[in-house]
Amino acid sequence: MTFLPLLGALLVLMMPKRGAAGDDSAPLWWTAQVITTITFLLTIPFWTGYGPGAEGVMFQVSVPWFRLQTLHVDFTLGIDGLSVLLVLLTSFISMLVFFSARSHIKEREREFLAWMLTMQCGMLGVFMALDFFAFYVFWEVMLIPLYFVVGIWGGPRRLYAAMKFFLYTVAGSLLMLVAIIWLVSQPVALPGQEPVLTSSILAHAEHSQLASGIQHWLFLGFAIAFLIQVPTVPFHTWLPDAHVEAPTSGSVILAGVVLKMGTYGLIRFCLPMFPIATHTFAPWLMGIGAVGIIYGAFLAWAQQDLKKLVAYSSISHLGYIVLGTFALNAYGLQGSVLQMVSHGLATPALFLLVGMLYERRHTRRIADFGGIARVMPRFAVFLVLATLASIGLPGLSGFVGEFLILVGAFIDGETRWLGVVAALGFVLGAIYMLSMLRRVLFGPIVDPANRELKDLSGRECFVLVPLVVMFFWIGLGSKAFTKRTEKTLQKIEQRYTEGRG
Amino acid sequence: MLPQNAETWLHLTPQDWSILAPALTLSVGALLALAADLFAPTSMRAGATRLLSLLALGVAILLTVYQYIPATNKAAQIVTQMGPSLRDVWSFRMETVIGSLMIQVLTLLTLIGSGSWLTREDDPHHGEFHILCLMFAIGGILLVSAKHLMLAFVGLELLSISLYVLVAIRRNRYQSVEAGLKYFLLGAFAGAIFLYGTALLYAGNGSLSLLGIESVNRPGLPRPEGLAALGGALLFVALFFKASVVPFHMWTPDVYQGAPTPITALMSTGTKVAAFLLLLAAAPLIPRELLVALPTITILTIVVGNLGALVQGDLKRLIAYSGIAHAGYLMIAFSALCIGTGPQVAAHSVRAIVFYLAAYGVTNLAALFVVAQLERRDPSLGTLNGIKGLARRHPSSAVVLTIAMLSLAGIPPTIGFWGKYLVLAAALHTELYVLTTVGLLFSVIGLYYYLRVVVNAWFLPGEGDDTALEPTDLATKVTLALTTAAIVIVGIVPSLLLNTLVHVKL
Repeated sequence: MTFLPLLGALLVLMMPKRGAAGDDSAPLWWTAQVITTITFLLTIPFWTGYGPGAEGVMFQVSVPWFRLQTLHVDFTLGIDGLSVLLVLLTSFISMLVFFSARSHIKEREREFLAWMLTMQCGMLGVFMALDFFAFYVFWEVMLIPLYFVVGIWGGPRRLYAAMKFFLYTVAGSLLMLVAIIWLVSQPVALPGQEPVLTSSILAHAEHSQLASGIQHWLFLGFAIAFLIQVPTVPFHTWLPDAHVEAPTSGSVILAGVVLKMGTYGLIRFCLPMFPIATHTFAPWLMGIGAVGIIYGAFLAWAQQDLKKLVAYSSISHLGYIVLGTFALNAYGLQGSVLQMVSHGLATPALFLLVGMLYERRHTRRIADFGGIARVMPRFAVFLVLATLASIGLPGLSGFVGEFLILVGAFIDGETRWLGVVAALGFVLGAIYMLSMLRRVLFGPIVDPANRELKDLSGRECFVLVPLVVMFFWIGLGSKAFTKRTEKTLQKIEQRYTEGRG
Repeated sequence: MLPQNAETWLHLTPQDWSILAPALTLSVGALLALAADLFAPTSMRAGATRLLSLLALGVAILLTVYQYIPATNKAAQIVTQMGPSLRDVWSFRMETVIGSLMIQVLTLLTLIGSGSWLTREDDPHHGEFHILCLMFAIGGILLVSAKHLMLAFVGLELLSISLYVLVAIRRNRYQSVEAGLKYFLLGAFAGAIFLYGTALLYAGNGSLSLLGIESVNRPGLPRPEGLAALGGALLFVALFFKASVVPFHMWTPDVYQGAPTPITALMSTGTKVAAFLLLLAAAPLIPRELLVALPTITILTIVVGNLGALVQGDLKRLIAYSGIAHAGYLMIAFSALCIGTGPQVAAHSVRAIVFYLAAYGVTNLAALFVVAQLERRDPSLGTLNGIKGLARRHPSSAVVLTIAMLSLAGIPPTIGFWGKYLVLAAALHTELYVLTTVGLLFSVIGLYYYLRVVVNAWFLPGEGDDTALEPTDLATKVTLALTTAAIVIVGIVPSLLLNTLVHVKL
């Protein structure tokens, strides 16, 4: 079982070459689709292998990479309760993207597929990496392709958006690099051993005992890098630009997976490694989260463009994740991880639907639509479901995560008012999403162009149905998910409570 | 000082000969190539000089590698059995061997890659080009290995004079001649300053020895005072000139732009390697007054280089300013070496500098050879506007250029990332927080202009002519393939290069 991920990673690494071979576009797409499907199938053993109640790291693979004096760096990949859901989410969303992208990527297809496959490799690597250097390399390997995807296949202002996206995130990752260099130069005492230099993420997460001063600096380094990536207010301005200009598949990947890397990083690095600093900064970060929820919601409310609306709603939903993470209790953490997965399914569905509408009408202005439900009943069903999942209707995926996060925020008396503020976000979310539904789907058909719209094709439904199945599964059977993450998150929480002093 | 007795002076042990072997091979190769250029039949002349030069370089590289293979224990033998006459003038250490290896490899790659450039030139100077490149390599080897100021000066002049001629080798093009003259006048001035500094150092210290990196952080080592301090300062000024460190960088953009592009590639990489390794050897001679100014100089270099590159429209000028910026990043590690104390400082900084030089060397060579083969087709392709739509017109060039730009920007998984990592790690190790911050801040600015190249090549449609370009010639392809492979493979498996750098004898 342990060498399966290595196989998967190797396969992923090989993919760009195979994806880039050949000249006619049909076999190219076909190859890429087969490869991502195989990758997805290969990640399924993670789900079954990392069963409910599992703890620790499984599927670990480690090979010596390089050494610097006494620092021996191993290239380590593995799965634990925090990453298992996200790895599956990544391979799942990536697979759907390859099946959906063919309708809107008409030129330079070979490059597109090569970049997307490279990006998939980077994303899987980020979630699976258990070594700081591997993590950082995968992190950048993921950013470069996204930059190209936005820059080449994006909308009219794509250059501006791509450049902004890249400069923001790279500024963040350079900060992280310095923090990593610094952290790695701090020896870690493993139980029963002399302190050694190590770049293993787990060793640092479980055994590092840093002085309070260093913790604060390192926390800021990592946290700012991740907050830019999330993104939270005040670093959020790159997101709407990138989303609006990116092609549908880019938006889907961005919303589905890339934004999760920031929140993943916060839980993976900041909490267990810098408990004292986390304790100091947690109220501030919760505040940032709450501001993001409300501010994102109001901005979304004001949007005239469907894609922008979804983009700003992402900022709002990601605010919940930051809030839940820094509530620093089991509910909040569980809710955050679940919300990551749920947002990673609902938002891609929304972007896919917006993209499908755009391909038909070549506009995304909400005012241009109205009464679509009559001509596109299937589309309407999917849009309603995705919207409801996104705003957290009980029974669908968004509810469980956001509810747990609110519970987490309410538990602590001092931050209870932030929970109240966040709960307002629920209401706002319902308002702007439902009013969007009303204006797009229902009412009379004003514009005659909308009468001619074709309903979703079989292929489009084929992409959306799995997402809808997932909405219900998470909404109704969330135990299967929370049981898998439980032990790992407990350990992180325990590390935090012990370490904060 | 050199021994007075001529017999002992000339006495060389077998190990001494093996140290000198690469340089000697190159000298013999250069002379043979010269003879071939003069006496061989016209039809064979070009082929013979080329073959001889490549052969000499190949043999020299093998001999250098042989000195340093850990399994043969050759390096240890050499160190213990170095003869008395060589011991005081030649330093045989990890960084000097790797440094001379780098210079030879860079020369070899330049020679290989410029093969078709030479045959296409109206006025080829085929023989001279090869011979002068070999002389450049010999000068470089002497320079990086020097432990004695006289040897360093000989190396410096050999390297510089070859370059003056090489820069101006397209004598029917005024840009080339102008650049050559500019470089010659300023370079000769720098050479004179170096010599004056040497004289003052001798007057002050009574010795011409470069103390060498081994004594840089030795506690109680006296800093040069009085005349020697002035001499040391002048020495560093001359070296800063060669390394294009601000405020001695003015010549760089003009000369890089005017020189034939393969020569730009060679001098931007080879000279930087030689200059920085001599800086390492001379580090103990740095006077206190200059030490205080070192961070300021470093910051200025980074700022001027990056801001200068931001506004360039010509690719070669952009690469020239980026070269100044990279000199600045190297200066971070150099400052860490000079300012820091403690046993690990030198190891960290030296390794960072050597790795960074190697990374910068292959990357810049790749970038400039792409530019070289593009502008040979059409001079306008050497500008930022000209490469718009390059990804469609000539995808392989666009790929190599992109990889090179990402490596210069220090994005993983390229070799440039590890270089940047090591430099930052060295700076943090010495607690140079300000320099680290400045370095990071300007990395982001640097990213902007490197990405502009990428943006123009991939994202923007070509202006006007949008036809596919003819394929690259084989010679350039070899160089590009080798450098790109090095950028990516070492980027993924840095231990390939890092593990050879851990044998720092300190």
